[in-house]
Amino acid sequence: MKTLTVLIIILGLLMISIGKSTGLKAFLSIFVNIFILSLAIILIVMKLNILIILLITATFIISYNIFVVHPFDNISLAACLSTIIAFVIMVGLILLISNYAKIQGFAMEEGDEIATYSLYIGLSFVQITTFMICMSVIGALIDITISIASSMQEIYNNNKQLSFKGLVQSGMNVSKDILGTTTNTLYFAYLGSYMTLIIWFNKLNYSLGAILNSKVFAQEILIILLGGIAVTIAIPLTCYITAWQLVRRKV
Amino acid sequence: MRRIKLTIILLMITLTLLTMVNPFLYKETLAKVTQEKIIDTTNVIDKNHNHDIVYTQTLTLKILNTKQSGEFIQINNHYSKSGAFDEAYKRGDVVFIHGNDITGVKRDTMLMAMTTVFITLLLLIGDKHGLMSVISLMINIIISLNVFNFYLNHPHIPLLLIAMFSIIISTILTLLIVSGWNKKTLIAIMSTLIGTFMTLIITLIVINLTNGEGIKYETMEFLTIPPRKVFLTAILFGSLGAVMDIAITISSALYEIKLQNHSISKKHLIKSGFEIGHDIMGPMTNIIFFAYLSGSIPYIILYLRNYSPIVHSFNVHWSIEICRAVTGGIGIVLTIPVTILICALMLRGEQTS
Repeated sequence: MKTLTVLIIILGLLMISIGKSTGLKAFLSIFVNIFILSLAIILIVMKLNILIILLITATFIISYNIFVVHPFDNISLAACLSTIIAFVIMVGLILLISNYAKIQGFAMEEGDEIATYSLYIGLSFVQITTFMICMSVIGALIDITISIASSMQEIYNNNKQLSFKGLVQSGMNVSKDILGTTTNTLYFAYLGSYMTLIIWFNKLNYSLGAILNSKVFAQEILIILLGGIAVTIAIPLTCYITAWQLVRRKV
Repeated sequence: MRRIKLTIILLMITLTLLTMVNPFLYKETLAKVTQEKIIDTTNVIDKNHNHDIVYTQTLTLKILNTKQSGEFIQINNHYSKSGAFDEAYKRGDVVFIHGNDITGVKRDTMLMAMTTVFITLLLLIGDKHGLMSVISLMINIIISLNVFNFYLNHPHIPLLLIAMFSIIISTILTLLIVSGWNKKTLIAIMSTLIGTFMTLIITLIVINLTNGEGIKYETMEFLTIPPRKVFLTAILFGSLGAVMDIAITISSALYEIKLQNHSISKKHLIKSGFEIGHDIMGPMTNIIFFAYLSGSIPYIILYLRNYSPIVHSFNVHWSIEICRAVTGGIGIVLTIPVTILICALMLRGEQTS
C-alpha cells in the first residue's frame, strides 16, 4: 500500500477514536477544504477574475469551517465577517507591497522546475501570489476568530450587564493569550516549509546581502510576516464585531 | 513596558530608514531607476494558445555605489503582462546590476518595513504576549538556521539526531517564553516532546513498512542534500508549533479546572480534557493543511495553463505536501491524549502533597 494512504488511514482512525463525531467531521472537512481549494485553482486557470474568486473561495472555506464546529448564529457570523474584512485588508496590503518588493511568480532559484513550461500564460502572477498568500493564512484566521468570538460569547453569557466597551476590553484580554500560540503555530508551519531553502543558501554560499534581497527569501519571509499581520489585524476586528453583535441583540 | 515597546518600535523604524541609504555596504553594483519608457509592445501567443503581452522598456539608471557611483547607464528590460519570471521596473526602484543586466531587485527595505509593521502591531495588540511571541520567533529562526549549518559542517552526524536535539531546545525555550516557568509549562513541554517523538516513530515505521512508496521526495523544492533526510526534519519542525499550541491549551485549561475544583476526579478531568481536544483538533490540522498546500498554487496554475493533465498537475505538487500535512496532523491529534494523560498523572500528585 502507498505510504500516504496508510498515513491518512492512521490520521482518520486517530481523529475518530479521540474526537468521536467531532473528530469524524474534522477529518472529513480536510478533504472538503482540499476540494474547495482545487476547485478555486481550476476556476483561476479558466481565467475568471482572481480577486473575485479569492473572496468567494474565502467566504466558502470560512463559513464551511466555522459552521462545522459552531452552529449558525451571531457568533459564527461575527467570526465570518471579521475573517473576510481581514482578508480584504490583506489583499490591499499585498497588492501594495508586491508593487515595490516584486515578489510575484517564480524566483531564479526555481528556474529548473519551470524551464520546460511556457511562462506567458496570460494570468497576472501578482494576483496569483496574492491568492496564494491569503490561502496560506486562512486556517489560522479561522482558528483565531472563532476562538475569540466563542470566548466573548462565554464572557457575555456570564455577565449580561457588560457594556460594548467592556466586552471589547475582555475580548482583547482573551486574545492576547491566543495570539501568542496561534502566531507560533503559523511560524513553525512556514519554518518547516522553508527549511530546504536554508540548506540551499548554505550549500551555494549565498552572501547575507544576496539572501536578504533574493526573491525566494523575500517571498518566504513576507508570507510569514503577512500571515502574522493578518492574524494580528483580525483580533481587534473580531472583538469589535462580536461585541457589536452581542450588544445589538440585547436592544 | 511602554518604554520598552516604544524603544523597540523606534529602533525598527531607524533600521528600516537605514536600509534606504545602505548601498555602500554592498559589493554588488546598485542603481536607481530614474527614467522608464516603454519602447515596444508585442502580443504573444504561446504554443498552448495563451495570449500575453511582452513589453520592452528602456530604463535610465543612476549608479549608487562602487567607483562608478553617480554615473548614468541605459538598460533595456523585457517583461510580460503576467510577470511569472520577469519584472516591470518603475521610477524609484533600486536594482542590482551586473554589466548591462539587471540581476535583481533590492528588497531589504521592504522586508524591514514589513517586519516593523508586524512587530509594531504585535506590540500594540498583544502587549507583553506579543513581545514574547516575537522573541520566541527570533530564537526559533536562529535555532533552525543552525540545525543545518551544524549538519553541513558535521555530515557524519545524522540530521534526524541533530533535529531531535534542536526540537528539544526549541520546545523548552518557546514554551518557557510564551507561558512562563510553572507546572502547566512543564506538562506542555513533556507532552509536546512525547507527542512529537511518537509521531516520528509512527512515521518511520510506516515509511519503512511501505518502502516510502508514492512519496515524491523529488518534488520538494530547493534540494541539495538527499530529500529523505530533510523530509522528516521538516515535518517535525513544521508541526511543532501546532503541537505546542495543543499541549499548552489543554494543560492550562485542565490546570485551571483543577484549581477551581480541587476535589475533581481523575475521570472528570480526563473527560474535560477530551472535550477541549475535540474542539481544537479540527482547526489546528486545518492551519497546517492550508499553510502547506498553498505554497505550490502558482506551480499548479502554471502547469494547468500549459495543458498538463489535471490529476498529474495536482499530484506532482500536492502529494508531498499532503503527506507532510497528514503527518503533522497525526502529531497534533496524538498530542491530545498524551497531554491529558500527563495532566491526569501530574495534577493528581499535586492534590496529595
